[in-house]
Amino acid sequence: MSSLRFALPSTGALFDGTSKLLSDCGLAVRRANSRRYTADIPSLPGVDILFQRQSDITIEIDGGSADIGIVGLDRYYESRLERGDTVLLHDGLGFGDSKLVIAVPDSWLDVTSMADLADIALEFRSKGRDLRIATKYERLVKRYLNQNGVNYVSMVHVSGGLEAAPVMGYADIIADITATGTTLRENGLRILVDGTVIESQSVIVGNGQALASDPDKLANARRILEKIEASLRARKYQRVTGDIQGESEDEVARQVMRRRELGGLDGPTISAVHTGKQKNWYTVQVLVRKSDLADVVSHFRDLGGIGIAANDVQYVYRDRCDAYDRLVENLKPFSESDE
Amino acid sequence: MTSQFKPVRRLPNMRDSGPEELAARDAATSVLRGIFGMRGYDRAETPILEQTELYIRKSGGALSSRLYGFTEPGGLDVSLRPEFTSAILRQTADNGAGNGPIRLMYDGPVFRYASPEDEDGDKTRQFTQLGAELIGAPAPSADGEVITMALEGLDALGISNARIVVGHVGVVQAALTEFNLSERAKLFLINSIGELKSGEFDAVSEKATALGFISDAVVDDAQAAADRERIASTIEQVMAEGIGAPLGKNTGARTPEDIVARLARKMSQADNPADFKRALEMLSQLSQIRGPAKTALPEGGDVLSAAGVSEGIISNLSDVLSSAELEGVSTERINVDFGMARGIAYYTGMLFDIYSGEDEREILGGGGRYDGLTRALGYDRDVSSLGFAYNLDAVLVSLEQTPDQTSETVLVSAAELGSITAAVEKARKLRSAGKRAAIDFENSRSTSDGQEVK
Repeated sequence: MSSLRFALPSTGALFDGTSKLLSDCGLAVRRANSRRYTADIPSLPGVDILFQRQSDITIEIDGGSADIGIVGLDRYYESRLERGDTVLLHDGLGFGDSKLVIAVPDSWLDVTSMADLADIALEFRSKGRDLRIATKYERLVKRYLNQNGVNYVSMVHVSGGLEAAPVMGYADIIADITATGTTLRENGLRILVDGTVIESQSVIVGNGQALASDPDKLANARRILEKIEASLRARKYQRVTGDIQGESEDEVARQVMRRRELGGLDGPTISAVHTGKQKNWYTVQVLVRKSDLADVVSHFRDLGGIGIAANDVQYVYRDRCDAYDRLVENLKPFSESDE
Repeated sequence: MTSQFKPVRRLPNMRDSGPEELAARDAATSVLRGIFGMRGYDRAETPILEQTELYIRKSGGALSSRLYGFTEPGGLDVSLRPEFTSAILRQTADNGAGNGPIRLMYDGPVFRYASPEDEDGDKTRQFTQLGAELIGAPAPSADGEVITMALEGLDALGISNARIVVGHVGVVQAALTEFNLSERAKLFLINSIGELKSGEFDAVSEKATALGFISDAVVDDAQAAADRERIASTIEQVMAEGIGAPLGKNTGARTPEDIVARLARKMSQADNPADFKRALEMLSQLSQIRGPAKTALPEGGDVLSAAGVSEGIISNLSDVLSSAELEGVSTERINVDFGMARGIAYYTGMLFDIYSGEDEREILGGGGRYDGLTRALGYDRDVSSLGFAYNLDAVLVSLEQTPDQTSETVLVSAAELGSITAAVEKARKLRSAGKRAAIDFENSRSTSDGQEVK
């Protein structure tokens, strides 16, 4: 049986987010020490964890040295080989939110939009030089600039400390990842009003060829996706219980369902309370969206409910796992014989 | 032993073409060249590879983000051609265009990249264009000629349900001139036509607000004047005392004077939000008008006059339509669409799309007038020009019947004739009699062992 090689970001915000996500899903990673680049998941044998630099994860999966991985959507789009073997398995894990933005020196008072930038690029051109932009995301940025009519640019590849580029003088403007914009502001840079190249968060990608050709790997990928999807869904729900008096189970159910939208994901679960003295009390349980919690509580109160309590739930499964269905759909081209 | 190498796959969204398709394409190409030739068009060819500059000067973002560009071995920044018009104009400029109209036609592959996430991400990235350019022809009757020829070509191929949808960038531009807007504001509005047409007025307003074209504040002229004065005095101060504190130290490669000068220019062209809003509303209404000329032209006129714009600016469009009618095109085959937008930004006047039947997804080609392009590409003056191109691959798909297939090939068997010498001789005779003949080597295998079959 071959192990599924699961690549995770080795540092930064995505490392923290990934560790938390996997723990929340009961898939906590066991790593002998923080310098080791391999680890495993005790609750899921048959999965090898590989800690990689984020910029390498897509490339490793494209090349087949890892099977699935967690990476920022921006990184995936920037470094994937198009129609290579890599497919997007889950498009939003709920952490690592960031934006790739275009920023200009704050002193460029006259430049607020991409249209201004197009104008400036022409101004530079007429002086016989190109507008230089420093970025780690050459493909995404070049395309966005072109789409916005900023054609005369040259890309300056910088690996770290992008924000300093305009001050140091090796680029005129930059395109970089930001979560809040604070670092950019502190370095005297301003984001253009329509300068967002891509909004990103962490996603799961996988090598379609590897998964399609190995049932063991596919089965483990499915276990991971199922747990993550159910856990992410569970974050949106709470289980509310309360005791309500009524003539019968059916009668209580009818009362609760009078407001159908508060009747829970799959309808209420109702069971008799056996106190020995008072009769006709029933415990009602509903699984509801967190945003509906206050409404459900007042609805229960209106029905004379007592002992109302709400709990978080760890997993919410539906009849199908969307992420896995999508995976199977994505794998079709790989399972069909070559044209 | 089997090969250790994986097969090399074809690039995504690229196609191979087989004998049948190529025969059909050759046949269609020669029919279309014949039709264009009868109107005096001569063939021209340009390199598939050109300097990237040629395509980004005037084409706008929709095309430049789709270029297959790279650095060639000689160090130049080059691109595969995404269209022919720019290269044809470069060619005629190089040859020193005369005064009379030049009529040229061309055909060949063009390349446009689309990312898989794009709306048209599944489109073929290389396709065949066949088209014509009419250079140096300002009259509306030239527009009529080009529209008519586009239909004639398809008629000749037996695509009888082809029709044309005509729009006019010039009408929109002229209408916007009346609102006293900056170039920047006009460009924004023109680029928003597509969205306005599909009813996304709110999304466009939101964008316009973000870019500062629309402000929520009530425009108070006294306040605005005071603002202008304050900014002007800041500028004066900056000019007098040097940039110092007001701008901070880091202005990069631009001098503080550059920035201040452009800021002043931008402010002097600042748009009145009320004017902008009126223009946006007018454009939103205008862009949704489409239908037969008989109804669409008066409707367009009404929207323009309601907004205080002279409806006279529609006259060029109606002249174009009349001249197509004069050429014998039935009015039923032409619809007007004021909201027609085109990714390629060099069009200045009439523009049109060619469809097969009612289905507007089946676009067979398109064209238009691009009077400003010649100067941008190095002419010393504007030369009124126009043209169109078919997507020949799409045209072939909509052919009701494919042209005659090539005749069958006679297979001459060396084994049956007793020797390869006899087979070669017989094949030669067949060919000189005009038949397709090929030799069946299957039973003459011994030749590969070096022993001639006797």
